[in-house]
Amino acid sequence: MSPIELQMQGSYLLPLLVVSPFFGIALLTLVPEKRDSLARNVSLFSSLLSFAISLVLLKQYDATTSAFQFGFDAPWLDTFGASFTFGIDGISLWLIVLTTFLTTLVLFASPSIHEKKRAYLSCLLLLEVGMLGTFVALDGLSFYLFWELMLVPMYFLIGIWGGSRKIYAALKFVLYTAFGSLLMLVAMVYLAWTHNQQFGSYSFFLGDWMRLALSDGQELSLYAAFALAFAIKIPLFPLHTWLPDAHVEAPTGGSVILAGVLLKMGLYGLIRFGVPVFPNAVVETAWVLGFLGVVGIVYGALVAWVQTDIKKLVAYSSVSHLGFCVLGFAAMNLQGLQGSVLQMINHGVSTAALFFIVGVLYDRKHTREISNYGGVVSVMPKFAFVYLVFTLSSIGLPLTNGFVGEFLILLGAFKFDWVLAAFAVSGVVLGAMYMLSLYRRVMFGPIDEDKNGDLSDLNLREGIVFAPLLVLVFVIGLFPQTILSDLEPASKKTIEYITPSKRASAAVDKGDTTSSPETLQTVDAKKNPRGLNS
Amino acid sequence: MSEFTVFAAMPFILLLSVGFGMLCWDLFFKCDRLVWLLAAVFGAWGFAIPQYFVAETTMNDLVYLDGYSLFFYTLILFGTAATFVLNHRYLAKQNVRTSSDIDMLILLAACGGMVMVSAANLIVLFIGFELLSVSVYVLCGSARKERASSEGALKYFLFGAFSSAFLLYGMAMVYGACGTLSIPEIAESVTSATPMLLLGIGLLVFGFGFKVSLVPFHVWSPDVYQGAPVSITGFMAVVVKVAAFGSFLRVMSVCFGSIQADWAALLWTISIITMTVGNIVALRQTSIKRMLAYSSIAHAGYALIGFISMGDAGGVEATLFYMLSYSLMTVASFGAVIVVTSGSEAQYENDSIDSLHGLGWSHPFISLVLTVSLFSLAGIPPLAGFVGKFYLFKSAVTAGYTGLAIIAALNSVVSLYYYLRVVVVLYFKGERTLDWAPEKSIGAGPTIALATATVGTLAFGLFAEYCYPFIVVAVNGFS
Repeated sequence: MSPIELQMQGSYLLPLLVVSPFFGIALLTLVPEKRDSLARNVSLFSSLLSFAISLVLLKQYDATTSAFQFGFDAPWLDTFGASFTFGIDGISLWLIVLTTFLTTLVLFASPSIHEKKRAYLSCLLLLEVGMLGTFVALDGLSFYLFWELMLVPMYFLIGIWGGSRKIYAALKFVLYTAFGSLLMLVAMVYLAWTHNQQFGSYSFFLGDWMRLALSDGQELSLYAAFALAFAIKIPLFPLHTWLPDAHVEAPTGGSVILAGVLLKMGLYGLIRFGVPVFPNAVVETAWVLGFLGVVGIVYGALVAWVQTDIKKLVAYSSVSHLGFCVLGFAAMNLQGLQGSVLQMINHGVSTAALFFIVGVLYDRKHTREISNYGGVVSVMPKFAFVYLVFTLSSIGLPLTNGFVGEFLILLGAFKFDWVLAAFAVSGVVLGAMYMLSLYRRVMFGPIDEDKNGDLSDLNLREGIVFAPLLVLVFVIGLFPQTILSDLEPASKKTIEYITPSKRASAAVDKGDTTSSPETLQTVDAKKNPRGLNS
Repeated sequence: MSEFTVFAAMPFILLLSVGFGMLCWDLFFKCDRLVWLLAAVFGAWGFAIPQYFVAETTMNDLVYLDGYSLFFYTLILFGTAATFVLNHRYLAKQNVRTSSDIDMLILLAACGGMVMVSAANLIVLFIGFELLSVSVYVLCGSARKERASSEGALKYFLFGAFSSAFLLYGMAMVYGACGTLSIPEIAESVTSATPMLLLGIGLLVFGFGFKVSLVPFHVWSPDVYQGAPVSITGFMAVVVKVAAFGSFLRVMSVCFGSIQADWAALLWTISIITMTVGNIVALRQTSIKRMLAYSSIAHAGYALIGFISMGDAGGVEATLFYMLSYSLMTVASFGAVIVVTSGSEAQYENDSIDSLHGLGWSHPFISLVLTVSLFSLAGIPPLAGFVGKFYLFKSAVTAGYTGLAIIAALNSVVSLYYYLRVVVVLYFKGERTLDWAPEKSIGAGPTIALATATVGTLAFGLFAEYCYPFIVVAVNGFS
């Protein structure tokens, strides 16, 4: 019946995971005003709970099947086919683990925030709800709900605890994102209505949308509405301008979550909704994404190179790195896609760590200007080591996590279009140049500023924050198969969505609107004869 | 004569007898008016509940007894109750001499609104319309020592008189075309769009357009919203608007639903102009009351989408739900503004958005109420405002007006900017530096009213599904 398989095991792990941060928020309201450390411990406890649930998911996950697992379904606006339908595959699984992991780290590192502590922690937990919900939702409207829900706490995080231009940055962030997502909402409503036309009931379920017969024009314009929302969130060049502002103004914790998880939402949306629902349009416009991705790689790298603000430099490096992920996605082959998802996780680890590093420097000197630093290596040797590892991870040195992801992406990209791939390679070189030059300017050279002489090295709390990230850099770098094997069935399934439809559209006349989804459906029906099994 | 006639009359009898009784009693003795008023309002609602189970006309086919009336009674009475609760504490702070005559006028206005939404005859509708309008003209000017209040009342009266004339003239034209003023009979006789009928419909749209402040008939509303005592502004934004929409929707769908294709283009245009002008002008407002006035204009534009997509597409249901969510979030947002501005001595001159500065930290409850209601007005899920917009978009797309849905979506982005600007002032600009502040503790009544509206905003977003069948019943009654 349904082209995707959702295993309903009667498991309540996913809804439990999504609502678990609310537990912390509820407890936080009970914490007295001045008890900052108690508030932090409460929120940390709650996020550890979420992390534990995500580890349980990781353990129970069955990597041999491409089906969506831990299925859950609860009504929301049932009359119009919108429900809280949850389910995860390998791709969402690892992004969930990344989310709960980074949130825990950010909450652990929160003592650097002194004002309105409880509100800060509540915002982070609410943000976690939004992120987790986005990764588990298989229903368009609930996906939209969580997608928009992320905006609100992020808006407050930037606006309350941000830097000098925080209000501008916060408004720009929200308006940019809302612009894309409201058009996506209309497209979703249109899809639900089309389902009503063709099957007699409204539906927002992903599997139902995949059965729709859309004309080429419909498919392209609906995909455009989705892709615009996702491209803004990625952010794809030239829609990236909100990102440097948001990153620079956000507090460290906000930046870490923004870079670590929120920037993955766009590509995740493309993989989860774009490919299955609009396979033809994705294939037809893949070159656009690939091209813009490569432009983003080169542009982001060049702009990063000339920055004088450390945080801005790392922000632009994100534009460049996300360009790689987009390129891998656009290649639409197994290596490219797997590399893309792996690189999203890698970027989550290494760029989050780099933002923590910027936070460490900023906490000590209260400036982010590169020229105010220099010679830090001699006073902060432990920090220098940590920073070096993440720099190398970010530029993709072999043995670190960044290498595996970039390598897979480039492998896929060469299969897709060697010209684009060649330009992308230049991004690797540029990445090494700006990251190493940043490292040199901050860490080496004479201690020419009086204050740099007495900077204190990493304290225990900061060390505890960096330790798991360091481990992850090498674990993913040396044993990428642990993650890749989980990603493989999901990636293969995603590739299969487009392969038959590509054949179908080549085989039949373009005017024939119904054939391609039907082909897709029969192919999948053979694979998953049971469909939605409960 | 139906056996339900008594139920049709009881809510009015109860409201007016309590009002008159209090008016007389108040001449000689003191009493706690709020308890009696709330008892009257909730009693009236209780007497109206049986209407849910019937769908017929009564009193010589002058009044509808149906779920649709009950639905709008509920919104009107809810808004009235919230007004009374907030008035009890805050009206005196707005330089209004509180006495039972103000309460009486509010009750009369509520009765007028209820007559409008349940009228089965255009003349009855007009009587309700006038009862509502005249009461509200007086209420607008109730802060007699404030120039802005008197000015607003006069403006409202002049424009309102025009709108009544348009409405009456439209009814005359419809009578000329159909030979009857009874809504069910008009519905039967309307088969094709004659020029006279179309002229009548156009004039009716003018008349209602004034009351629900559609562009270009909206020019009075920002001045009146700003000038009137803010409690009365809140009452107008909820009760007057909802009542006018209820009767407007009933007339357009029951009487003229069969020739909808002939007037849909007119409302399509007005809808787009209304939401766009409302949102864009709201961007530049510095007064919170004017901003909310323009925002309520924009919301009238959204609600019109349901008129254009009525029928199988579910536009009427969508508009009803939108009215429900609009009432909740408007009670919450105006309630918060009432509490805040009443703390200022010079509130008629000093109602800028900046007067909310830093309240997020000093007055967390009020700020939370305002923030949630503004996010809901902006259409952030999972709040009721989002679901309302979702239903409207869905009905627009289903009726083939995808373009309208896209324009409404883009408008929502614009509106997000000015709603968020309020949040900026509340939370992002540090501690409060102004030399006055609203009172810290707002008392049990206002707390309950605001908390109910806020929780309702959240609950009707998450659990809209459970209220939708009631709306369907309400709409099926007359179609």
